[in-house]
Amino acid sequence: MLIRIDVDSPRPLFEQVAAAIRADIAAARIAPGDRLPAAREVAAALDINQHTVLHAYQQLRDEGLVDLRRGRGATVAASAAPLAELSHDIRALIARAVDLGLSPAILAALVEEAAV
Amino acid sequence: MTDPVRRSRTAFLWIGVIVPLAVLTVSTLVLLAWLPELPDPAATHWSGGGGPDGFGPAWTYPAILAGVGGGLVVLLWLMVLVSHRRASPTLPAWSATGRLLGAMSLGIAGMLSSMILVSVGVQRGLADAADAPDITGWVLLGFVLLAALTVLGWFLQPPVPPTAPQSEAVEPLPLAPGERAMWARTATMGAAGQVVLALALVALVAQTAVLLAQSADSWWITGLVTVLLAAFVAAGLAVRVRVDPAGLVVRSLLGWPRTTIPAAAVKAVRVVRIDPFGQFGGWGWRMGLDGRRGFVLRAGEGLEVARTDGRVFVVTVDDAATAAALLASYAPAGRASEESA
Repeated sequence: MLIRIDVDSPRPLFEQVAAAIRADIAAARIAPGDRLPAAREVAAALDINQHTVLHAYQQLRDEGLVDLRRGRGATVAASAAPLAELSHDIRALIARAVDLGLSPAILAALVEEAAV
Repeated sequence: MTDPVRRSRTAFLWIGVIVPLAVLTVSTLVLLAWLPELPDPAATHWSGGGGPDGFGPAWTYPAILAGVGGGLVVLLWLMVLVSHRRASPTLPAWSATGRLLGAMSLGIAGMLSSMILVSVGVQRGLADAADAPDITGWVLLGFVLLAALTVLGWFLQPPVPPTAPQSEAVEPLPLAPGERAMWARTATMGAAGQVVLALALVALVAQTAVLLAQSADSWWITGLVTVLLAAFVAAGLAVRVRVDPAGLVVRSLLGWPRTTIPAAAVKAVRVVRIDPFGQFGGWGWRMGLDGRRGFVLRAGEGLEVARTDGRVFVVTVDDAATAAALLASYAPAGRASEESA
């Protein structure tokens, strides 16, 4: 799994970490049952606060993508499987949007609009 | 198939199969010719220093030489054939393991022939096998022959043709000035490795049990080897691989062994295809005959890191391309190109 953050971005760091892991699940780079690295490990590797990583993990747990258990750490939840199934459709949609001259940002806004 | 590969395989066939089988055949024929001159029963066992302490029918000698010797040569031949199948896209056409097994085959044929010829030769014309002399010196000579013929067999075969690099050096992952990234993944041992190591463990446990049952004094040697192998197998079943701005860390789930390569010590990164048996002679924490070292847990894609001190490290892991790209961007070469851009 690849976790990428940009400290210069105005987006909160915990959201960036959560988004990166969500993308890993969607791209099937990690699958249900896989263990996420310990928050301490991620924090040290990216030189960010451990609580920022825990905050991200908690958000993913609230979304049902991650199981957090004392002593076992964070694992990808079984309920995350549909996300990986969608990844093919999402990529197809992005490719179609690019063909039509729409940026991924506009596409994201459109998806959000449509969901409301 | 390219010419150097064809030449290597032909050399193996001669050095590792035809010559050893010819040596064993000639030695067996000589033994058969000597049979009428042997005492009955003949001496079949010596216990170091002094005369023989075991006796049996003389025909056991040609039977052992042809059966065990021929069997070993054919077994090594089959191992090489199976691990270098031409039709397979993942197996190498030729490898250093094949070359080594061919050399060992020659050494084994020479050692067995010499030891058995000497054991029989010293008994020719004796009325009582108990009068046979001590043969310790000859046995030692047999081991010297094993080593010498193995080395000779190695150098009589042409060097293993280098396989074309399956991938070019990877493009560094582009990172913006404020961007930081880490990549982590668990690599686990493939089914083939698990089966082979499990069989080896079972055989060792069985041997220890048999020795214990016979209340042999030496049981603890096999016992110790069993425990050590079990520890190595457990340590090699799964490893965590992590790439971050500091570099690469590969760590067994048991915590040991581990390898840390600081980003500053990374000279080049590649994604390679790895064949555990052909290139490393097995599975686990390995040292290849080509000098590469690392965690070889299954066949397929892996990350290869050349260090600035010349050592080369490998680990078999999925999604190695992403890991390689990220490590390349944190290596000095990647940073330099980033800054000049």
